[in-house]
Amino acid sequence: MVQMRKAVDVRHVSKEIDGNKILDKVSLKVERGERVVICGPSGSGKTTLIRCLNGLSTFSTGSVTVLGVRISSDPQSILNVREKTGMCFQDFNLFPHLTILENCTLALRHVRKMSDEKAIEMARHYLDRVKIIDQANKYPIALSGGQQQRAAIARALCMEPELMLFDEPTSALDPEMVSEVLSVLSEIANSGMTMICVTHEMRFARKFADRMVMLDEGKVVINTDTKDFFKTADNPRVKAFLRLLDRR
Amino acid sequence: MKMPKIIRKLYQVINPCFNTRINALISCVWLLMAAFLLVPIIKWAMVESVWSGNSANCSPNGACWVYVRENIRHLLYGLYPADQVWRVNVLCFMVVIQLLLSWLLPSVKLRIAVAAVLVIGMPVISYYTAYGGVVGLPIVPSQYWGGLLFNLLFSALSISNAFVIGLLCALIREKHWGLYSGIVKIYINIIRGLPLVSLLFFATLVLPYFFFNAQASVKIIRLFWMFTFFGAAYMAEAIRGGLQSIAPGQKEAAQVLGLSEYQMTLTVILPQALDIALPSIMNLVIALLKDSTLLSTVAVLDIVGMMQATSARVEWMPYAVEGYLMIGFVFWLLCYGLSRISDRVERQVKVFR
Repeated sequence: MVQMRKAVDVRHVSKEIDGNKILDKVSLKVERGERVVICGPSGSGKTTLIRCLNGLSTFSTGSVTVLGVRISSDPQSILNVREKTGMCFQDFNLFPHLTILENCTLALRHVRKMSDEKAIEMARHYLDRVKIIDQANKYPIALSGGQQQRAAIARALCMEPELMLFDEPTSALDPEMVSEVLSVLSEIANSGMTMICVTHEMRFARKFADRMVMLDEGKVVINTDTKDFFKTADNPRVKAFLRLLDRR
Repeated sequence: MKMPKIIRKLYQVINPCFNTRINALISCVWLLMAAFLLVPIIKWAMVESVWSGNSANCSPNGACWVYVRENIRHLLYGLYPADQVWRVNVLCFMVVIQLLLSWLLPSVKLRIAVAAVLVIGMPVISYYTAYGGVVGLPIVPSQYWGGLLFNLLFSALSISNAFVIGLLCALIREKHWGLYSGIVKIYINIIRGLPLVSLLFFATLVLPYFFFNAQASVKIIRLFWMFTFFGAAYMAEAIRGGLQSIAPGQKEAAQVLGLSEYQMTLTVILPQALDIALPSIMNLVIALLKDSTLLSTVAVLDIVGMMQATSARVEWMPYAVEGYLMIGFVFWLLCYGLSRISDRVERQVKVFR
């Protein structure tokens, strides 16, 4: 059962919208426990690729298998994948009408059918882990961007996913808040969870990732060890991309 | 020395009106105009008015508030028999209690349960309690129903039903369920393209040709559902506005957490959509409450119908104006109260926005 050992197995996935190739025969394998950073210039299909992994985006051809479940047109397959994966978004997407604690307990109560006490206990555990337990009873609007993103991470972790997806978790943050979110990510990475992260933070990627994947114009142009990626970087496209990021 | 707060406030308001010559001049002109208009009105309504006695005490110079006093029972209860009005009072009390409970109870599940009783049970309970013929209650045909309490009961039950139907229509239309969404869209557009009065006449005069069973032959029931479906079409559009203003990311976040479509709608989408739609919903509630007086055009003795009926008697004929003013004042009070409630709820909502 080689298939089962892989956390993610993407084969020749293509997506086209109005003749534009968003993804072009993308293949990507991620082992369990591996931490992968996906980078690339804007519009290269990073976000689309990560959204294909839990059914938020559809693809035209190819196959995606996540944690042993092959994503198909059957909605049940997508539900099965989502049950075992968590995701954090660029804009946090916390529920504004619920407190931070309620944000975390909502799915525990309704999806996992936990009792209120158990759900609260669990939520408090993860809020403590991302260090915003003192904000538990506030509404999202009262929190800074960094705190909101950490709350969103806690909300996803509460479901105890086997695979976590991060879609540019720091892109909507003020520079001084980036580091607090990244340190939380590093802390979770130490727990051995499989994580896939789309990000432009190259210094963070160097410490965090086992493997770097670079997309450009919907194609995988680099898929290599983090060390090799930063050491050699001989591909002219990578060079250009890294230089572009440095200039920012 | 510190001036009392009220004096300070008053000073702050009055001072700018007279601080320069030109401002003082403008203020004086306004005061003169106000005096010119207000003095006769106050004189008519308060000074020269008659508050006690009977129609013989009234004069053409002042308002005849005796009219309201003498006819108060009819204006409140219509022609409902005096020894049976307790039935109407009980119903009003029940509806008020249910409205309060469905708004203030701490548990959401209990609130929904109370609201379900109000929406599904109360129209039937109200009809049989008011009509009688069950558990030994004498029969009071619906031609005898009327007055202000009829307006209030009718609108409260009709608007709460309209809210539920409108909510379902808005959800069906937003989910893009092919045929169903199409039907809802057609229904909403037909209702919104027709004036309420024409719909009420349709319910009174045309619908009886289609239905021959005993229930549907009751005019008040036909009018109730027509009024309800009229309100529901507008409700659906108000709620749809709220549904559309929710960021797609909210839906995605809920999906990623594994919530089913149903759970997501109930716990994430609707709470936010209804908060956003609240001002337009309250606006609609106020409009529909006032629209309930249009029932007088199809010979229902609601408060306006009853006022017209009572002022048709010879002794009260000159005093219809008093009746209209009284109705205006009552409805203003009701609507002002409602808008204050909605302001308060909106402020609560802003806490987390």
